[in-house]
Amino acid sequence: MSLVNSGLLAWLAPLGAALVLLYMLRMKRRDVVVPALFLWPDRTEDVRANTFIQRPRLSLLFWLQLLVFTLLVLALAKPQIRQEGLSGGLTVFVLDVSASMSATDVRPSRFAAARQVVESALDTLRPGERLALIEAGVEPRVVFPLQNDTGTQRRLLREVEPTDTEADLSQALRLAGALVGTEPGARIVLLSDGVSEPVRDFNPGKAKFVFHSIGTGDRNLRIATLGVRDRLAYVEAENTSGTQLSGQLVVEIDGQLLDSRRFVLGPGKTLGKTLTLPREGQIITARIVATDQLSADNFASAAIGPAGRLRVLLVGRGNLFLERALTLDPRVTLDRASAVPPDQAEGYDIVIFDGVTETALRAPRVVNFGGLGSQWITVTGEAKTSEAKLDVSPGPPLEGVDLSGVYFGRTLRVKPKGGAETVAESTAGPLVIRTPNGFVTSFQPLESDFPLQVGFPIFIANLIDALAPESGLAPIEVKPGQPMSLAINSPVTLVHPDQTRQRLTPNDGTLVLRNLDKVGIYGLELADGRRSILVTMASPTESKIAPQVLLETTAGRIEAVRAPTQLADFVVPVLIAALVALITEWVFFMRKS
Amino acid sequence: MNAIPSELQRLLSGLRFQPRRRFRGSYRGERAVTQRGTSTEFRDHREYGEGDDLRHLDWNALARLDSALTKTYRDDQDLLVAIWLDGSASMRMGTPEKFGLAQLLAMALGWTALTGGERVSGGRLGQPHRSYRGRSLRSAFLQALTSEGSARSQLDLIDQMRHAQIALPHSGVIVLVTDGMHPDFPRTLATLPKSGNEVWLLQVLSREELEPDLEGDLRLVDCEGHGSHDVTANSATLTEYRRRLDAHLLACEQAAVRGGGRYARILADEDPVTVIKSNLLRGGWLA
Repeated sequence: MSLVNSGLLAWLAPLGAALVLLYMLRMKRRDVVVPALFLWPDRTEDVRANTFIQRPRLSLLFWLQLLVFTLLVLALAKPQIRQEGLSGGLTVFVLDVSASMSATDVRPSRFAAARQVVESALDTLRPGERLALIEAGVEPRVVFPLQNDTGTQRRLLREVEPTDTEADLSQALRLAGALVGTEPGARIVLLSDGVSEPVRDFNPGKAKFVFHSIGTGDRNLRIATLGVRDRLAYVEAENTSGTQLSGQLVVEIDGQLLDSRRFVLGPGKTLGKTLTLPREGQIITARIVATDQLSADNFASAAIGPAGRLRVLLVGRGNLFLERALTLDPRVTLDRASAVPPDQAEGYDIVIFDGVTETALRAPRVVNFGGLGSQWITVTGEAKTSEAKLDVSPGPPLEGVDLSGVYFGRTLRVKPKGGAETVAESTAGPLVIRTPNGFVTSFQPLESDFPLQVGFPIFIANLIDALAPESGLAPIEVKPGQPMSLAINSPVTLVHPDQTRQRLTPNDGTLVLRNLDKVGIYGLELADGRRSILVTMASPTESKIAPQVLLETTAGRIEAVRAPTQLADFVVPVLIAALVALITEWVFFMRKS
Repeated sequence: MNAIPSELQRLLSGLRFQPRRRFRGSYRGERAVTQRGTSTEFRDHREYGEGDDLRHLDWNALARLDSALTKTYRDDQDLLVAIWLDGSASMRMGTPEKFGLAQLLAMALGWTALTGGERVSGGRLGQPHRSYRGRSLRSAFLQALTSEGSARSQLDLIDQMRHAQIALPHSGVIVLVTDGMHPDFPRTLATLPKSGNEVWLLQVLSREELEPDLEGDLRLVDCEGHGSHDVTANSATLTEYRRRLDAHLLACEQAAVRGGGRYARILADEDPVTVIKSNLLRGGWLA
């Protein structure tokens, strides 16, 4: 038991002393003459005192009165007891919905156990207490805000499902901190197995942070690698647990068995296999048949053929807007570098120079933002400010891009040369120039407000589309939870891995898919055929499912609690006890009077 | 108060004491005793035995029946009635005072005894006792019961009873009118029959004694100077008081009855005529 106002206990000393002093006052008794004193028992029960000092007679009445005083002072000190549970006051639950939470070491799953914790908290939610739930997936989502509407909260809780994604616990916890970080006594409760990247930049503020770790086991096998190059495929299985595990690795091409073998792997060991692919086939899948505790990483799929992916190298000092716009394209596999030697550029489909001088490369496609070092332009000067010329009809890379009101800072005054042509102009001259092997812009994105415009990711998508080889209906590879966009005009049907069908309507010619959070092969039924979307987990972090008891944060390690407890007010029981003691004292007093 | 109401005198006229046993008196009196005596009132015959007085041989019966029979006679002797009236301070307690009724009952019984020709001794306990006989001394006896104070009045009830017992000329009926409010009273009372006395105990109590109307924290002071102590008069205390009182009263009654005596418990506010009728007459004390 702890006390909110423990200083009030100091009042017990003077109160107790005053009570003892009262009992030291002797009763002023009325003299009554009786005929036979020997018939009267020598029985005194001092219930009143009003004169003179005597040695205190500490009767049961005294102890009862002292108990009443003690209980009343204790109630004023606001006692709290520690009890199992996680609700009370303001509580924000952060529920990890990442892939590792689907592990079945806790029956039926870690996620179900975590959800049950929230259910239990809702069951014990008392009037005046409020509870919020944040789903920690790829992006944090507030399932329900701080409220005390258990009916609605339960319904919304039931709608939360586990995913095969990686969780960004940092963002979710920061959101929780923003909700209750200024509230003293509030609590942020993370329901997770702790299998995640270290938590960064999280400060619970005045709220208390509780990490409730869920999970007991680590038995897991995963497809660590499934890569295709030319007509060869490399598949690798890994035992991520601390015990020896066995299983069967099955590789198929378009559903036809290519290879199958049983294996036994020691802790942390891998099994790699190179397979020759047949001439026909679009999709290669690998799966592990085993009784491990996480099934999401037992499956991987990859597209056979070059159209499936696009390797892009971004050379620059770092541009978050550009990186996010590029990764929106499901085909893009993005690498970053601040500078790159010419012989290292081989293997990339597109190299993008962002504000750095272009290096002569043998890469097939080049985009140069800022135009520095480009062989396709002649720099004639520099303009401090410029705006796009809207009276000039923009070329293909700017289709659907609204440049009105876009402010460009420093731009180069350039002239295209050697077969290059201007596709968009500003008041300072050519803005976007198509070159034989790509595009050159006279502006750097970070020296304009273009990245803040809606049209920027469309512009980048158009650039990639213009430079990428025609892909047609080639399969697309994405990670679980990764949003992707496709240039589609008519409504389509998305078939999920569990064969449920979902009708989708594109918006302004772009179909954005955000709910591909389960591992498997999705089918997108288009007007001209079916396009597969291959969702593979491939997350070493999520596959190491051993529950963590220490949560890594930038502020240090936070130890998990197995049986979470909460401080609950104990004032009412103390007051009831005081009342009972008072009634007992009164009855005792009446019987003695 | 030195007179008995006329109504009470009419009630008592002609009544005689009815002790449970016969006592031999010092003087020839008007009371027939069961002992065969020498009065002129023939009682019975019995066979002549060796040593019998030949003057009592019934010569006529011997001549007619040829059998030696001795005549026996009723012997008229006076009865000693010791009337002890407790005049201690406790008898002054209650509303009305217990002493009022106790004194009247003692006077009535003394008046009856003297009227009936008994020899009466006693008076108020704590005062010198003398004997009275004959109707002419009824006023003197009543005067003794109503006179106040003497040197011995400072003694407690037990000592007064011991002094009175020593002063008795011989055994008889001891009529003790008291409240018996002394812890040793039952024990002392039980010693009186051992001297051949028959004890008649009239225990006069007040209603306040039976149901004390006390409440709260009190300092109880004994009216006869036997100290004081603090009491919280709550239900537990009153229950204990009643238990002790019942035990004491029962002990008093048993001490009187076991010695072959009589016992009556009387409330101080009762009508004396009713008391005499319901207790003394109906109980066969007087007839």
